Amino acid sequence: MNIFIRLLKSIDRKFIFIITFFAVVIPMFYPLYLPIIPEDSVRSIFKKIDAIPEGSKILMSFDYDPASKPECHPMAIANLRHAFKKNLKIVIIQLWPFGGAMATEAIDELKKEFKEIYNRDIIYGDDYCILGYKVGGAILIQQSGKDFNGTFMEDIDGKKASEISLTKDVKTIKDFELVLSYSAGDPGIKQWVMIVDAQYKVPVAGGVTAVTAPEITPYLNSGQLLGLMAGLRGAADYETLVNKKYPPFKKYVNSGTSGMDPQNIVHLMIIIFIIIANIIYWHDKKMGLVR
Amino acid sequence: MKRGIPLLIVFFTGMIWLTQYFIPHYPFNKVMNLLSDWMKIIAAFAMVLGILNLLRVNFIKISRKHYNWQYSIILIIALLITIGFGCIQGITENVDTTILVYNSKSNEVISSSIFVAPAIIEGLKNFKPISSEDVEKDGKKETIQKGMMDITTKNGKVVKYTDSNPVKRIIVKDDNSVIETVIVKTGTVGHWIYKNLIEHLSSTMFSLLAFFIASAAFRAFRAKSFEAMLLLGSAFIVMLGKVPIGDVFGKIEIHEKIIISFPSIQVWLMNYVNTAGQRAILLGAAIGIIAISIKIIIGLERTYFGGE
Amino acid sequence: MNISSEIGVWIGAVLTLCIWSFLWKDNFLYKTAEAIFIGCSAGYIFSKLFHESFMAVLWNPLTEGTTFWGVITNPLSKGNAFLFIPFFLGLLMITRLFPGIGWMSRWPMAFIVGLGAGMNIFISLQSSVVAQLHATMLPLVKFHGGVFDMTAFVDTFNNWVIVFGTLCALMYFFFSIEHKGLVSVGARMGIYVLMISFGASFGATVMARISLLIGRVRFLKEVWLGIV
Repeated sequence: MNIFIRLLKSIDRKFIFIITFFAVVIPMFYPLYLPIIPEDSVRSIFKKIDAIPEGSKILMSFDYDPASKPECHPMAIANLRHAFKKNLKIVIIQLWPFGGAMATEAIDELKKEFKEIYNRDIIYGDDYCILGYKVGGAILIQQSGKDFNGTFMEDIDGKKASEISLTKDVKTIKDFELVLSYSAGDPGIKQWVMIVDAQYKVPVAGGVTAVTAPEITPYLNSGQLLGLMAGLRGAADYETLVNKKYPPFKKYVNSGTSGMDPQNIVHLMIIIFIIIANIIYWHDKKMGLVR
Repeated sequence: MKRGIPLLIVFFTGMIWLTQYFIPHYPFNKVMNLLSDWMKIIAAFAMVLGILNLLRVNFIKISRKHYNWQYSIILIIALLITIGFGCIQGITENVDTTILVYNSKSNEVISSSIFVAPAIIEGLKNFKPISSEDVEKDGKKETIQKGMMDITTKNGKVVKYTDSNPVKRIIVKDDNSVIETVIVKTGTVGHWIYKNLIEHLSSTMFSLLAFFIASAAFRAFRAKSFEAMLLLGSAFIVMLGKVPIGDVFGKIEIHEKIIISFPSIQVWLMNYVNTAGQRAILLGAAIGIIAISIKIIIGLERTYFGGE
Repeated sequence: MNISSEIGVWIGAVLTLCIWSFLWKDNFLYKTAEAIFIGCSAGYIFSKLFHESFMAVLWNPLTEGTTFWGVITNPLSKGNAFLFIPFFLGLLMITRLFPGIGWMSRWPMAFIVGLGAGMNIFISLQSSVVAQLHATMLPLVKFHGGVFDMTAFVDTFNNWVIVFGTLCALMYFFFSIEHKGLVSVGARMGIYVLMISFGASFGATVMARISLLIGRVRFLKEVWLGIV
């Protein structure tokens, strides 16, 4: 026992790094394909988007950057798939400087999918548009409740929002059926809930990184937030719901779903690490080595 | 000047903004719009200040040859290159460059640029459209097609345009003759920098945390007290309940609302116990924010003045 | 296996490995990649601000229907002349970099802080205090179709968790009275609630961090090495 404990204590942290790396890599080659049962908070977003009449406008706010792309991007793609399939008109804004690039990337991917599956073109200005980045965060959200086009002014190519067919009739944020925010921090979903839901009564939902999810749950519990996708699991849940309704999307990249395999193993690995560490601790405590 | 005016500005902007919530009519609604527009400009300058400060700090580091000053040179070069190309060329994905206008019936070239015109006409046979759109521009009907094709430049180089970097083909229908304009969408340097440097660097930088959290789990988490045990217990449940493997451990259904399994306990923990704890923190923080905001408006809180 | 032939992908892959080299120890590859990251990110944000903020919010409205010289020589000819005020205030912000006149940056700073304070008072009160308190005021006994069955018991129990959990956690943060007797018990329960909450946060954080690593490994495997 003592030799075993001594061996465990001598483990270098680089060894842990290597184990972590392989715990991520190996399940990618040998996936378990465990079934994913979507959580209620994700189902409610799916139901809401499903119930919005065709041709209605929804607002998507891309409030993340490449650092949190692996978490937020799959959610945004899953939502966009559903919304485009439902023929909803999507206005995209960005409260983070990299949001526009993220949105462009997501839609470029979807254009290919829709062309291949449904022979449909997703057209800029008609199906979606991306408005340019402005600094101001919560102030922008506040102003968009009074004058939407005056707030965001131009799209990423410098075309006036009042001249784009999708946004020219939008007066305020109330003209949207739903606001979806993919957020990795501030400004993000919290500000959308605090202003748009509270003052303009437009339902707000969206996705957050798993780190921020616990601090957003009070808003979900109070009903201020319609639904919430938390981290990669949230994306996997939404992908599951979309793929169930529209099976052709199954064959495309579903990062959330495929990410669950390594996630399973690494979570188990970390739990084992903590247990081993505590065995060492209890052993040392018994031996009087620590207090 | 140094203290009085900022205090007045804070008081008036704060009060005006607060008032428009309660009197959402003229003139307060107009003032709110005006102040928001101003805010967008001033806040943008604040971000510029940050970037200029980054430059200044690194110039100082180089001039005084501080520790690791060589990396500051790399930083400044990277910054200036990105700003230079970004501001001149733009940072969005594509820039339209008209390369050829020709009459596709008679194969008569009206204008062309750096590309070999016959090669383009030839290349159009292999044009694979991605999307197509009919538009009316200045009374003329146009079909805009985006697609993939290879084009030969005048120096003999073949450039492949793919779905991520497509060719735009505009067919103008004019008096039964067809005039086509082929536009090549070239990526900007700014976009290239974003796609190949920033995106990878940024996400890799944060992926390091995965290794450190694994190492911390092994080295730091000890159930030294009952509180620590609660923390670890709830962390275990969330970690197992949040991934599909949690379902593998089975479930015991006592009642339709009482299901004992990792995912259902995780959902319950998140929705009730976690909500209670986070709500307390949220309430405390919100009251704190309100108090500090009032202090700022009436001039009792002046730390935003900075030093001096 | 179909290794990418795109130079951009190779650069991305090499930079990824450079950053990961930090796991071995701090080295010049990591530091170089870090410097490129900071420089390029700041430059990109600046360019983005230039095109999408300054041009859209300031320059285009000022020059609308006039020329560059029109704006310079006759600034008040248009209704947008008001925009010179924030432009001036914005320029004052830059004075922060110059020690002698740095105090001038307090004016634009005061504007931003004032606006933020005015907004925070209202939105925090409305959606974080009133709405959250409203959501905490739940019935302590709940009936299901007029009877107290198992469903009603579960709902009642959950309501107790929310109501007393929040109260106890608030009690822990309440330092105006000494934590003795009932208050002490409440505060202790509060710590337990908070600990469970922090545990949940830790679990979620693990999930988040691993997701980032998965994203990177997937890039190396699928995009760079072409193993699908």
